[in-house]
Amino acid sequence: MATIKKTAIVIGAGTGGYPCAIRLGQLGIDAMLVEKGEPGGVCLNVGCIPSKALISATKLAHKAQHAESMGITFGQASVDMKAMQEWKGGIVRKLTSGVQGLVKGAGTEYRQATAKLLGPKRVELTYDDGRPSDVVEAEHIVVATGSVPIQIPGFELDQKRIVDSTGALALDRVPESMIVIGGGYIGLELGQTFQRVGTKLTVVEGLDRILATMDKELGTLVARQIKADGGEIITGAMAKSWTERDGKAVVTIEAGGESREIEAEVVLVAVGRRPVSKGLGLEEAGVKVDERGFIPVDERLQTNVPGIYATGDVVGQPMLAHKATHEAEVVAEVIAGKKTINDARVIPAVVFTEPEIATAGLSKDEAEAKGYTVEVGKFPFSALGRAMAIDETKGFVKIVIDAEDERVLGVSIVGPEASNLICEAALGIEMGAYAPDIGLTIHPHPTLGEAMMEAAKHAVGEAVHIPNRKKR
Amino acid sequence: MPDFKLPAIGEGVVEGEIVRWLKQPGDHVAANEGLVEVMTDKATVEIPSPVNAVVERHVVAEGAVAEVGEVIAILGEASASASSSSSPRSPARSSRPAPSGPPSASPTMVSATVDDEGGSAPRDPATGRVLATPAARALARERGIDLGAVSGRQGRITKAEVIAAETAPRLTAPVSPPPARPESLPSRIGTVTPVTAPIDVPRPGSASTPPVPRRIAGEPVPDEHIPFRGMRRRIAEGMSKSFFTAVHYTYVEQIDVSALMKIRAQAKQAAADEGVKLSYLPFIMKAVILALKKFPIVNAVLDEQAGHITVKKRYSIGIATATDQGLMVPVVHDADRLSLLDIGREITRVSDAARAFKASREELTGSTFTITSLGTIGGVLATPILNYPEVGILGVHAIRKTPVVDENDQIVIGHLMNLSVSLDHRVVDGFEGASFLQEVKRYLEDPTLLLLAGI
Repeated sequence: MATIKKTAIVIGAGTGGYPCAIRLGQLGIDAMLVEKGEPGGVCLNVGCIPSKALISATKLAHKAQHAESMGITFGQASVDMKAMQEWKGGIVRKLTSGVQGLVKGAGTEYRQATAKLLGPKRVELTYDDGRPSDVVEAEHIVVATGSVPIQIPGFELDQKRIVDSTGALALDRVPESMIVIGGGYIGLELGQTFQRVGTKLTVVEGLDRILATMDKELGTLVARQIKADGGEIITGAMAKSWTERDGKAVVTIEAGGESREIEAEVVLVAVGRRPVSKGLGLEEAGVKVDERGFIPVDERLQTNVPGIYATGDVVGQPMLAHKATHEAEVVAEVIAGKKTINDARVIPAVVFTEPEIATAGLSKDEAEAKGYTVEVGKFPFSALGRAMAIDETKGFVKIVIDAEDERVLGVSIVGPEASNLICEAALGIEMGAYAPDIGLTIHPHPTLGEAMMEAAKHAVGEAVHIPNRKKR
Repeated sequence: MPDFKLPAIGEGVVEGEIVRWLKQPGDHVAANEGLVEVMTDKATVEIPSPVNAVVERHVVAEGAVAEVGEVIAILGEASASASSSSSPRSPARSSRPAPSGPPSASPTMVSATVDDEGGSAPRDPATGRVLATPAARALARERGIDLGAVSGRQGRITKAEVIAAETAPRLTAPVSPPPARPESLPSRIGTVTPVTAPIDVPRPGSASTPPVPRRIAGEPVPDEHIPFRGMRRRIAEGMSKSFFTAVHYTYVEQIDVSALMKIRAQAKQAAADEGVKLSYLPFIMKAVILALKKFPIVNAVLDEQAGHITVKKRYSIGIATATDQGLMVPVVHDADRLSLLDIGREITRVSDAARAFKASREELTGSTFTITSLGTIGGVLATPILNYPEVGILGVHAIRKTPVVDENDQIVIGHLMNLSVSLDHRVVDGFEGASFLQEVKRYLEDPTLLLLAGI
C-alpha cells in the first residue's frame, strides 16, 4: 500500500467532480480525480446527454409523421433502435473520453478506483483489478459522488421488464407499451421519447398532476401532448406491485381507493433520485450527513469538517448538472485560496418534454409568497411568426416582474426551444435586469427569442403584437 | 459546532450593529476574550466569546444589523487539528485586498458581504440582498470590498463601479485613534491649508523663464470612500430624524461672565483640592437646570402618537462629546440633585468613559436636555441640532474679551460668552425659548443667584 501526497482529491468524475479537477489543475493545484465507473457521471453516461440524443432522434421521427399540414408526407418511419443506440453510444464515448483528456490536459491525475475516506485528510483507493490499495493524503477532499435512482418496494429492477432511467436509455427496441411510475421530468422525458416512436404510454403519478413541483400551467401542456399522442395519465395513483403475465408486466395500482391492473411491456420506475453518501467513510471523517443522505455545506461548499467539501447531487436539490458544475468550479477556487463563494441567484431548470419546459428565478406564486407585488407578462408562441413557420406554436413565455420597479424576478417558458431560450432569462436575472432591459434590447427577427422580448414588453403594458392588460 | 448568537445586551435592546469582528475566521478565541464589537442605540459593547473556540465563520458581516438571539458567527472546536496555523488571516471585512494565500493553505472563510443590510447599495426590497451583476459580486468578494457600501447608479452595481470603489483609498475602521483634534475643521471657512506639495522655486538667473505651474506626474488622486456604517450611520440616522422631525429655531444671547470668571477662578483651586477640574460647564449646567425648572416646557418630549407632551421631572443633562468615532452624548443623570463639584466630577467621568468607549448604555441614554460646548474651538454662534426627542439644546461658545459699557457708562473690558439655544418650535414657542435663555443668562451674569439656589 503506497501513500500518495496530493493537495486535493476529488471523488467522483461527474459534473460535480470533473470540472473541479480541471479547474484545480488550471489553478496549479496538485490534485487527483478518482472515479469508480466511467468519467462523466450520470449526465454524460446515463442522463442528460444520452437522453437528449434519443429525444432529438425520436422528435425528428415524430415531426416527420406530422408534417402533412406543411405539405409533406413521409411513409411510416422505420426506427432501428439498435442503430440509434450505437449513434448515442458514440456521442457518449466521445464526451467521456474528452473529459479524461481535459482532466489530464489540465495537469490533474485521473484514476479509476473506489475511494473511501479514512479520516479528514486521508482517502483510501481500492482497485477493481486487485492491485493493492493506496492511501491518498490530501489537504482538501471534494466529495462529488452524485445520486442514483430511487427504487420502490415491489419493483425490483431487472432492467428488462422493470427498468430505471439507465435501463430505459439502453433499450435496444421500441417497446409496444410502457408504464412510467412517476410523473416527474425524468419519467416524462423518457416516456415521451418512446411514445414518439410508437410506444403506448401510461404515466402513473402519486400527486394530483404531473410535474407537480412546477407551475401548473407548464405541466398542463405536456399532459395535453401525451394524451394527444395516445397516452394516458393516471394521477393520484400508487403502483403497488406487479406480476409477469403473457410476456407483459401487469401492474396493480391504487387510485381513488380502488385497485386496478394496467399492463405494459416495460415498466420505467422514475420516482426520483437519492444521494450517494453511504459507505464512503464520511462518518469516519466526521462529515455530517442529514437524514435524507445529503451532505450539508456552506456557501463555499465546505462540509462541517474543514477541508472536506461536497458538490452536486450529494449536497441537495436541485439535482442538476449545471448546478453541480458551478459548485465544482467554486470549490476549486476556494481550495486555491480565492474568496469565491456560490452566490448564484438563479439556477435555471430545463425539462425536455414535448413541449419543452424551462424556468429561471421565481414563479408568480413563489414571488408573491416572498412578499413581492408582481406583474406578469406573457406571450404565446401562437402569436409568433417564427413559431408558426416551424409549425410549433404550443406554449408561451411568461415573465414575472416586481410591480414596484419592473425588475425581472422569474421567467418560465413552455414551447419550442424553451431550453435554449431560458439562457437569456438566467443572465437577465443574474444581472439584475429590468423588464425594459429585455424589452428594449433589439431581438432578431424572425426568432423564437422574440417571444421573450414581447413577454417583457407585455409585463410593462407595451406589447405590440398582443393586447396589453388594462393599466391599473 | 456551536452557533454564536447575539446575546441580550441590555434591557429593551432588540438589535445591534456588528461594528467590528475582533476575531477573524480561523482565529482562536479564548473563553471571555473579546469576539465582536456590537453597537446598540449608542453604546458600543465588546462581546466576549463564551467558550474556548476557533472562529469558523462570521454569519453577520460588519456593518450589518443583527437581532438579539440571531446567529452571528459559527464557532468551531478549538482542537489541535484545526487548520488555523496555516490560514491566511485576510479579514472578511472590507479592507485592502490581501494577497491570496498559498494554494495548499486553508482558505479564509468569506462572509456574505454581498448580503449585508444597510449601506448605499441598491437592494432587493423583499430580500434585502444587494443588486449586483455576477462579475461585480465576484470581484468584490475577491478584493474584499463591501458591496453594501458601493453605490450602483443603474439600479444595480456593475463591475466598473466595484473597480471605482476599490481604487478609491478607503478609511479603514478607526482602530487607532486619530489625532485628538483635526487640524482644520471643515466648518472654518477660509482656513488656509498649508501647501505640502513641493513648489518649484525659480532659481536666480532663470528669471527670464516665466514660471509655469508644474504638476507632479502621476495618476490623479481618486476620491476617498469612507464606509458609512457603525457610529457614523447611527449619528446620521439620529440627526436626520431630529432635523426632519423637529422644527428647529435658534436664539443667541451674549452673556457677560466677568463675575462668573472670578468665582470660578476662586473655586477652581478648592475644587482641585477635591480632585475636580472645575470648568465653566458645571456652572452653566446649574444655570440651565434652574432655568428649566422655571420653564419646564423646555425639559419636555413630544409624543405625537400618544397625543401628549411629556414634561420631564428629571433633569438629566447630556454632554455632547467628540470621540474618535464621532459624536456621543454621555449623560449626567439627575444633575439637579448634584452639587457643582459633583456635577464637575460626573461630567469628567461620563465624558471620559464615552471617549474611551467604556460608557454603559445607562450613561448614554436618558438625557432630557443637552449642552454642546464649542467654547474650546471658538465661533460666534451655532445652530445646534436637537438631541431628538429632546426639545432644547444649548450651544456654549468661547469667552472673549470684549469692550463693554459698564453701569457708569465707561467702556471697560468685559468677558463675553455667546450662548446659542436651539428649540423645537412644535413644543417651545419663541417667548418661552427666549425667556429660558434669559433666565440662564440671569444666573450666569450674577452667580450669587446660583449660590443662593443651592443644590
